[in-house]
Amino acid sequence: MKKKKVISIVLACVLCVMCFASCGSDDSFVADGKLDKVTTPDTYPQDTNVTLRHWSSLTGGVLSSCTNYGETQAAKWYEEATGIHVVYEHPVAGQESAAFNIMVSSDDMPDMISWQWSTYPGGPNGAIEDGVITPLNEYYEKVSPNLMKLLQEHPEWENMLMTDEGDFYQYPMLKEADNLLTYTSIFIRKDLLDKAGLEEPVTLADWENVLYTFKDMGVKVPLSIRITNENLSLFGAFMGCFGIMGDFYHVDGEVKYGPYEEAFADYVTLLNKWYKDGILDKDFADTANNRRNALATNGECGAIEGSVGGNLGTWINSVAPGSGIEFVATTVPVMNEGETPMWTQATHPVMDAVAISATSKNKEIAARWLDYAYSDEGYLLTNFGKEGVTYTMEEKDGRQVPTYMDWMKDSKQNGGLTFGECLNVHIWSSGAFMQSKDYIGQFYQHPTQSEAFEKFESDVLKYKMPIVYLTADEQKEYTDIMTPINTYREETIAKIISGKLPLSELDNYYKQLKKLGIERAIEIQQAAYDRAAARSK
Amino acid sequence: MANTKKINRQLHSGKNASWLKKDLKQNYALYLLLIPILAFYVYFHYKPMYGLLASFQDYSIRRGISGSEWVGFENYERFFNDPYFSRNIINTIRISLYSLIFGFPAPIILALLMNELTKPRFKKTVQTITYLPHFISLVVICGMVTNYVAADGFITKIVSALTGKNIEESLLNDASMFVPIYIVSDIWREIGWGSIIYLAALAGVDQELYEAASIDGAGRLRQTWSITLPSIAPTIITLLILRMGSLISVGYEKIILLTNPYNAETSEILSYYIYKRGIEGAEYGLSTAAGLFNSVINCVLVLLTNWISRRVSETSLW
Amino acid sequence: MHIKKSKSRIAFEIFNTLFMLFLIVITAYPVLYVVFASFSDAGALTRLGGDMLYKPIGFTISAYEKAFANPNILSGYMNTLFVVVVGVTLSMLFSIVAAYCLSRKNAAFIRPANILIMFTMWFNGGLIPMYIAVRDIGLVGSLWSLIIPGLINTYNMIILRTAFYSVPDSLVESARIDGAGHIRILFSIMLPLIKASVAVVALYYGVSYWNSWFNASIYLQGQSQKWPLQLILRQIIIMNDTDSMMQGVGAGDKEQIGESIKYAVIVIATAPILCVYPFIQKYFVKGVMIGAVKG
Repeated sequence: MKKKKVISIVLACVLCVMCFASCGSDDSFVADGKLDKVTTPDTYPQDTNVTLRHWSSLTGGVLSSCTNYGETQAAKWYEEATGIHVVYEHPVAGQESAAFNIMVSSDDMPDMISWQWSTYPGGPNGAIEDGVITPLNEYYEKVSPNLMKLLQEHPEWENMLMTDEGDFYQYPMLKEADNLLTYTSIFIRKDLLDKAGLEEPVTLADWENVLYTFKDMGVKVPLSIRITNENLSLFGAFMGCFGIMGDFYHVDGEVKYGPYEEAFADYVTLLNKWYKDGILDKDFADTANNRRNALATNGECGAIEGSVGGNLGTWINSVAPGSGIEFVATTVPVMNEGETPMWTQATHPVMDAVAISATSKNKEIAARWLDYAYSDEGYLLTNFGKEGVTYTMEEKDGRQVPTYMDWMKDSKQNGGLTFGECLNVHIWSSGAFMQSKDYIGQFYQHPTQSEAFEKFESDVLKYKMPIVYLTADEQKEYTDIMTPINTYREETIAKIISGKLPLSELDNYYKQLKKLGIERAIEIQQAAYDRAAARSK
Repeated sequence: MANTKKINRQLHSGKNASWLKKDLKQNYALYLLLIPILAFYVYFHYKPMYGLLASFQDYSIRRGISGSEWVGFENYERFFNDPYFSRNIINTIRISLYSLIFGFPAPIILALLMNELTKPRFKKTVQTITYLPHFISLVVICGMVTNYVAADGFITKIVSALTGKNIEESLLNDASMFVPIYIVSDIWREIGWGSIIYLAALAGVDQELYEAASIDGAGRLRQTWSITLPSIAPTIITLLILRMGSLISVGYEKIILLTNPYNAETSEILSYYIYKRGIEGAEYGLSTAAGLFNSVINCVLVLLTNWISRRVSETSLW
Repeated sequence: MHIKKSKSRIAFEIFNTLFMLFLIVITAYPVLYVVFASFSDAGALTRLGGDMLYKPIGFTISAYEKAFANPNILSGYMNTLFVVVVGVTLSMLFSIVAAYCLSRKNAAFIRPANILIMFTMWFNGGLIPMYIAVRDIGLVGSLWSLIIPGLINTYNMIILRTAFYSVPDSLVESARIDGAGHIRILFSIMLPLIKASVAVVALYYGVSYWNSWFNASIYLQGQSQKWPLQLILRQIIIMNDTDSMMQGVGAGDKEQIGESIKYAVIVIATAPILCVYPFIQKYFVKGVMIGAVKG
């Protein structure tokens, strides 16, 4: 009797423990990424009647002509080429996060999901461990010959595609060349330069000369740059002159935080001088687009920082006819003549695109569908459409370059679309594919915009942080440290630049950053950097 | 001893039962009407409340409440330990209180003044136009505000003339001006819309009372004070109590549009800070904790106001 | 009855009229601004950067053309109309019944019910549990998902309840003695007395149904034929947003209307609501004679 009782108590305890344990980490639904038997051929079109579901957001450009990506010519051509039928599911534009959360929490995840996986708690590895997406190593090896070929040609990409645990997790958007990475610059008024008889500024000294001349010419705001947190980490305009970047970066493997470097004080001191002398936009803290747009287009501004597409495009189009206002992109400012700029805004050549969900029943077909885009035919199809319909091969700089046909640019012939809208329905602008280096030069219609891309040369990829992932615990600690630091930094720096706080406050600024834990944040980034450097399959 | 207790209980429950029976008999129709209402609340409000448990978890969207790891009060600790926590709370309460002091009475005063207008045509016009700005989106309203308080904006010029100071930059760059700008623009947008409810309450005031009062020789001011105000007092008090229930939930939408690094020391509020944290990492557990903290404080404030109100004015939410 | 106005009364009336005129000017301005801007040339509007507008600059209706070119705008109006009409009707019915029941203080279970309902004003379970609740009764993908989950707004219900409280108990009592049931007391005796409050709450519901878009963005994903007007309009703004930092649609595009379309959209969305107000207004006329009803 007694024995029985003991056994039952023990059993009950074991059950309880198991219950609790399973509560904490129920791994039963995590996909293992095994692909034991390949059932599909390497050739396209594939012979299958499977229908795949693809969850992705629809960009504004596509939205103006269709409500579902499946309606676009680009999607139809791709389906024809791969022989695989795909239906698209889109979150409502502007509500992507809420829709993603609901989709992931449901029992009904689609086969393929486009998402910024680095923003998932715990990064892509967190998404794998939560059973959202599938580790793809075997799929890469066995059913993705085209992507593998590209990775062999660009071994530097492999590391960027991998989690710290050595898992591939997505089919990426690849950027074929560096001219696709940068889209932000400082634009200067060409007409004012000509009037003053000055060349485009290159060094910091040139810039000072030009800006002070502008001031003397009566320009109300010689220079307008944004110095908020987001902008600083993206593109710190004159910061590179001082040998620092606006965010975390590394020098030969040692992680640094630009605003905690000594040289940051020099940068702030310069901006403070410019502010006092009426060079820097007095309202630089107000980054609202309509104010900046007005500044750029009503002729009050001498030089202004912004994006080549959205900002410059708006400005060129909104300038009053006959005002003579003309912008030109500048090279990134350097300290001394002949130097290569340390950095400018640049994305990584590998961007998050499409993952295969952990619950998909058709992972192999999905992988085949995704891999086709990286083939030579897929490259032309995704970037340029169909030969003779949307593009022709034309001789340029001694080689054959696919060139968009003229009807696409003419809204009378393309059904009342802008060129951008027309492109969006015939070729891909996002998703899992390799974006062509020949695309960007043709995409922008205004010469000022196309020229800008020839001026972006910098060493940014040498210093930029690689794609790093924080562990879930690191992420929490890091956020707890960096949110207050960002708040403090933005307020303090703005006040010092505008003279509301004296320059001597900079000493206190460094102390305060230290007190708020910046060194721990650097450590976390360093650890993540080291893991990234050590990644392998 | 035990016996008396038992008897007592029996007696008591017997009394209860008959009282209950009587009540049910008298009000069964009322309760029948109430059933679908309560069903609605149970299904759409109470059932989803399990979501609040996420605030005690290292919540994973995929794993859900049942699959996520329990972390006790970790989310709350992180929330309270933030160096800016107290500043955010103080700023939130400051905005709320000022908006309570100035923003709350404004529509009441407007409604009373409209009530005094003698020409019905003019009265209707005023009503119709003043309520329009409510429908203009915050983005547009705040865009206008930013413009008018800029260095060369007309409001800046007026302030400059009134104070005799030479103001060279946007009023928004002055931390002490943020709350006034916030409140005044709020009143501007909402005063007409807010006054509607009081106009309705005024329409319900028994006209005989006024007639009796004027026969007694009471002036208009006197009538307003001793007839109009008491008549609409329940509405005012009810709305006031409800207003207390959102004291620390100032929304971040307007803050985003008006904040800048100079005024952050007065403009950065709780909800905006949580929003900023969300940008760094999607933390469901933490934001649920912040939300629940808000709810608890608001609820306590309502209980308190309601208790006071019940003592003073006999108006109560329940 | 004519009473001679005192001097102070006249002074007050002059002041009051002037104040109202001032209020009209400052509240009409943003509305006029939006209307002017919606008819303005986008480039000129960009250059202006939000300075005062006294008339449209470079009159054009291209923003409206672009907005109305959207194939879903008509269905958007229809869907919104359905949601507003059906939603307001049902919401009013449920809220009035709820407010009436909850205002009957002398029934034993009313106070607990009140507390139970008030409590929900401050605590809610968040997006995902709510989605599951809506999904489980099969509303996802249906226009009813825009109505049923928000059928009773507690705040509005409390306003109605306050109005019910204001009706003297003696009225109800005498009706009771005459043998009237709850339904009759509610609809034929009390409602006429509080019609001003009913009108206000109907307006509140109407405006909130009219303006709501979030629920549609969650429950009606991928079904743009079922979207209400406001969601369609939001999409139009996103389509024409040229401010995005990325390599957005650039120069060379035939026409940029991003700046003026924001305003056109507000006009399109708001104009119908404004037409409704005068109908609500007529219920605000003074003249309730409770004594007369009693008698």
